[in-house]
Amino acid sequence: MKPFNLDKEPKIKSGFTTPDSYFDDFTEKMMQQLPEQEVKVVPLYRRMSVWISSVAAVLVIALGVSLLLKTNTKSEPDATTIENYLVYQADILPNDFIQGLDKDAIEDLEASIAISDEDIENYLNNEDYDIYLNE
Amino acid sequence: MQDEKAFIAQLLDPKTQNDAFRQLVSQYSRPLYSHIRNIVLNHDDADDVLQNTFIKVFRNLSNFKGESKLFSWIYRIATNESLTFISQKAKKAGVSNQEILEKQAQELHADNYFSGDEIQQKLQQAITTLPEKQQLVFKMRYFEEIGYEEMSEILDTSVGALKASYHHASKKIENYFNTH
Repeated sequence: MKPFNLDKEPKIKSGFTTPDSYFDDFTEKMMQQLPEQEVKVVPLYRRMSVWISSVAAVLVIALGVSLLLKTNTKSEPDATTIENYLVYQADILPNDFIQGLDKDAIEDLEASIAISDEDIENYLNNEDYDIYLNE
Repeated sequence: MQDEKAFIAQLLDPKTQNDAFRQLVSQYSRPLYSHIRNIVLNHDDADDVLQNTFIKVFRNLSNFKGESKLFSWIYRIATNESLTFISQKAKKAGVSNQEILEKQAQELHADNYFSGDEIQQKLQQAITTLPEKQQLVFKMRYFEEIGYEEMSEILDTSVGALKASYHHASKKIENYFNTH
């Protein structure tokens, strides 16, 4: 038997076939499957992302400015806060208060302290004030 | 060459894109089908891969730089799609790429869309015993009669290496015929 030689043998075809009329409507079938306006989707998304970034940037700036204004506003501390501050400040002595008050303020202060005579009497009874009375 | 440049410009212009792509599909569907069918062997698989190839070509038109010919670029996509398809099919079946092709070649006589005789089936079986690259080179040269220069662009391999691959493939096939 003669050895098989591809070059000397008649050309062997692949033997593959397709269903009848497979190629007749293939092009149209293919065209219907194409993604629509594929190219335009990308720029649109990019443009959207620019818009979203811009809006986000404006919001961040607005929030920052409002926070800055808020922290810069001078608010008056209430009476309790001042009182607490003064109580816990060892450097401030009673004399300092007195220095800061004028005569009218002292009179107002005295008028605002409503202590009954009975309370004063009780207080004095509990303390040894004889030393002052005898002077 | 100028014609190809003009045709590529039409493919990239949204106004003319659809008509140009219809022309491309019409022109390439038959040769591309043969190329894919020679690799995947089965008609249904070839049909799937052919459609995926055209969709991929369409999606990537804007990336085509014109460094290679349109023909080579499309064939390269089709070849990659076909090889990926075979790999996925083999993975699902839990066998190697070569095993799945050998099995398909043995069952060709039962395929409704294979009209080959005993010699033709034997040739298909002989090809499946070759390494993947030699299979590709042999099919493209022997069945599709693609020139070495064009094949070099498609497979990104030197002409010399392709000629050597074809020579080795031919010898192995002749040996297969002489021993089976």
